[in-house]
Amino acid sequence: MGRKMTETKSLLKVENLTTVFSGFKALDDVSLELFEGQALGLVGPNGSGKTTLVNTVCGLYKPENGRVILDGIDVTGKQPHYLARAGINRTFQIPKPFKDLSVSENVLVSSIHSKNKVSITEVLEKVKLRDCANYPIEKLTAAQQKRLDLARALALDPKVIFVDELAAGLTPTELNEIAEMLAEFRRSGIALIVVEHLLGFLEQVVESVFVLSAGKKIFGGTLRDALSDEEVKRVFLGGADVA
Amino acid sequence: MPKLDEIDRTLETESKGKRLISPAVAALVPVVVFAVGVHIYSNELLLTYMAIYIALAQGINIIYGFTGYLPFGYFGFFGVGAYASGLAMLDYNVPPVLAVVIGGVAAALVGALLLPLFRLRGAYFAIGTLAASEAIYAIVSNPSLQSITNGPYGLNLAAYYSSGTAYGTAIALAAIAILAASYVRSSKFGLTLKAIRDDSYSASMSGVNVPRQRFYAWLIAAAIAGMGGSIFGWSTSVFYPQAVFDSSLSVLAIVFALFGGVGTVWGPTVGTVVLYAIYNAIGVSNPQYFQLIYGLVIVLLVLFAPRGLAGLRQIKSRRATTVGAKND
Repeated sequence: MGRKMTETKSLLKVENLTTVFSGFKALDDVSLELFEGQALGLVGPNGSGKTTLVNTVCGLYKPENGRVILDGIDVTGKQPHYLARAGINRTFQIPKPFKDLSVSENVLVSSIHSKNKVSITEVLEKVKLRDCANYPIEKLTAAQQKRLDLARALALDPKVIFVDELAAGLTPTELNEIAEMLAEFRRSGIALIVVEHLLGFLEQVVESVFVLSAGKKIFGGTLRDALSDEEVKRVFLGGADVA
Repeated sequence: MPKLDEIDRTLETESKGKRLISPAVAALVPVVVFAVGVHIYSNELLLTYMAIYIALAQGINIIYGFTGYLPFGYFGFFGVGAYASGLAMLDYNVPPVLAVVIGGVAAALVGALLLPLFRLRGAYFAIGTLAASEAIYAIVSNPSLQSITNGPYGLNLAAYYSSGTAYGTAIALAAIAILAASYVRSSKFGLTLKAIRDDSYSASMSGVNVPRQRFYAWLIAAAIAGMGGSIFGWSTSVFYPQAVFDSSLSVLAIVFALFGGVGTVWGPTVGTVVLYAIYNAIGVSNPQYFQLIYGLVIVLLVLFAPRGLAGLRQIKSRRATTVGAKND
């Protein structure tokens, strides 16, 4: 951690990514680019390919076509642990802590395998879990478990984090806390792709959105423009006014 | 790079402390008990087998307790070790203790060959290892390989028999297996394995090279079983392939480990001592009663203590931690 933003450089480039499951194109020729400190919202209705995109870039699925370039290096089809160490990380829609380990041990697992050793205390401070360091996982609330996912990602000194539905089920106060946390990550140079259904939260944390439908990109631009885009409105609400 | 502060130091100190004290005590106690026990209970062969079973239960502990992969075919490594060391003695006149090491290496090599089995999960993995071990048994006992393995007629190691040395080696193996399990439990390697056991994809997103870490655990477990088989063959003197490629070896080792509690250091040792003692007290003379008791033990285990004897203690200490956390 502690990378300072000097000039905006391209961190992640996804080129013509296609993922196929038994002949079905879950992701169809998707391209996007993400710069240092940028936050991009990834939206789309259920089944649009958002999670497939995250899973493919993070190495869980092998793409049929296309490339993933991280900081100038082609990492297409690499194993998840390789990508995690190289700087791509993620959180999970349903948090996935290591249930038999304490909070600090959860972060220690990432720290052990990180290329750049980071302070566990500092990481826990960043996600406001410092006081829960020795707690067993079952003592954490859902919101805290989501922050622990973030902490594990931070312990690997990431360049890009996919944040998967972090806001779901959180109170307005917790949402504000998370938004401030994400803003802090961006200030340190980390680029974010935020998968989210809550548009209000998205407006707080991203400056542009990428809309997927049936595995294809249908829109790229600001959230405000997306809300007035005819294709986006048709996909989400069958033509009704989204705003 | 920021300096590590208190939590980091606590984690470092805790694991270093555990690495030094806990393994030494856990390994030393059985060594002393076995060394003294043979003067009180004179059936040295039975104690030798008990020490071997402690090692096997610890091997199961390492691969199942820390990674979640249950190898029903664990006996395959036992058989490979028995044959590799036996043939090393008979064909190359290798000293028995060195042959035991060769048996461990041979089993680890077979473990490496069976690595693709990790593409399977859960029951499929368990059945896959069982099938692989049965295949190895079919090859070793094949009459057409009599010139190499002596086929179905087994090996006669009577010329190398030395009860005291074999007993000492069995105790040493039990101690090594306990030390290995203890190291795994208290080391960063063990922490990584526990993460894999909880969720392998999540672990890989924590930078863990899951196949490699699992492979190391698999090799350690295989080598322990191989050395166990080697000592079994050496101390038994004459053995047939069905005696060392016997699926009940896996079943017993798994039950011993589960009864004591996998994922712990003391659990498999205590489980083996208790159940193997019952087995020899009742099982040999009245196998029907033993089967009944065994069945009851397994049912009670599943119903009331799925994490074994050690699990009962863990529940108590975890409750204390949670209460402490609530009071914070």
